[in-house]
Amino acid sequence: MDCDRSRALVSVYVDGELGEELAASLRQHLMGCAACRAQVAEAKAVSAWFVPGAELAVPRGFAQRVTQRAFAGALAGSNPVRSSVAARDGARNEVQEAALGATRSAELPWAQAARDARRPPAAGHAERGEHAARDGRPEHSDGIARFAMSFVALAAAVLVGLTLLLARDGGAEVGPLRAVPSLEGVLQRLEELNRSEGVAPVSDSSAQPEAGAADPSIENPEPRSPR
Amino acid sequence: MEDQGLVAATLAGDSKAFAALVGRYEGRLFGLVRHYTSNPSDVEDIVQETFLKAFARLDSFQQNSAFYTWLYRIAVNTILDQKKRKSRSPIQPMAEPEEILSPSSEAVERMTVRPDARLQRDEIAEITHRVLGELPDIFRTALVLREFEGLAYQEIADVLEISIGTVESRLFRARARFKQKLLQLHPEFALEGGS
Repeated sequence: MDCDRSRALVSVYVDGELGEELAASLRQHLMGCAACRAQVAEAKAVSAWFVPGAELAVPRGFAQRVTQRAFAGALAGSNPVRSSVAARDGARNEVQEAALGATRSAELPWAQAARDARRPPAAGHAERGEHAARDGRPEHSDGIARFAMSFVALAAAVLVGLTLLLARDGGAEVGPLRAVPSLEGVLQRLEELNRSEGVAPVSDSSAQPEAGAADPSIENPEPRSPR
Repeated sequence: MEDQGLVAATLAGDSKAFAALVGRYEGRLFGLVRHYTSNPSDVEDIVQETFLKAFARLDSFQQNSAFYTWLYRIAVNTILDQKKRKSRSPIQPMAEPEEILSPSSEAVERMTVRPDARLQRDEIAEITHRVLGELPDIFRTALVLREFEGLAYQEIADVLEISIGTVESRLFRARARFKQKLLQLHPEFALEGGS
């Protein structure tokens, strides 16, 4: 082993991480090389600076505080242990309670009343709580969803009933769409006014609006009465 | 109970198991983090953040690896993240004059820096802490994990997610930089030509 190779291995050797075969080879080189022995001594001298200082005491109750925070977060948000914790404890944490309260206060009174009316007296709170813990949703959100679905079903039934009623009566009679009053009537009325006030009659071009061509009632306009 | 058992119990919802894990490693993490900050409050915050991150990612922990190297990795990343956040200052520090006056590598090689026998243990630790604070993070972390935490090369490689060869070269360079910085800050400890 030469000095370059030896110096590259000194740090690893001092750390005791050199394989036995290489370490033996290095030791053999060190026996005859003062410069490389000085390298080893220097590496050990640097390591002598790394002495542990005064220990920093861990605050009392640190583990319990961290654990509480971790599990509180697990109940509130997505977390690998979330479902396990929720299922085991069956409890709601403060965040869940706050969310529950906020939703209840935002709920309309009639929706609450409707849900209460539909709730069977035997429906136990514990059972609903268990269901909520299992799927991770607050129990009242199920009630809102059920009420919304019932409302939509009722509205659909009313629409079907009305449709059937109209079909039985032959349907509503709807006449052709027409402008009221008709263009002819307006023109006649205008000319009458012009005559009464002694104004010249309206010219043909201005009396034929482009849109009027589509009106079947003016496809064959009657001859305008002479002034 | 082994770490793996405690991890499995924690994942099953056992809070006592997680508390046991925290209790087992809180001292080591406090010791690790204090090499990066002198403020005890900051140390506690970082260690707490480390455990909360570990808890949140517990399902990603590979049961065939060592829990504490995984935990150290989270801790080191948390430390460096916080340093990065705090260093986002619009004012850039100027180069220190001593940088310009740093001894040449040849001069450093010729010298030996050994702690003075009259120095108290705490004084040595204080000097070392200050010198480490002047090193780039990759060198400081390598030295802390090796010299203070006593991790083997393979464990350092696992924590830093680098090869063993990189650990070797990083430690070699880290020690050279440590010695150079020590000579800059405390030339009174230099012994010419070694002894």
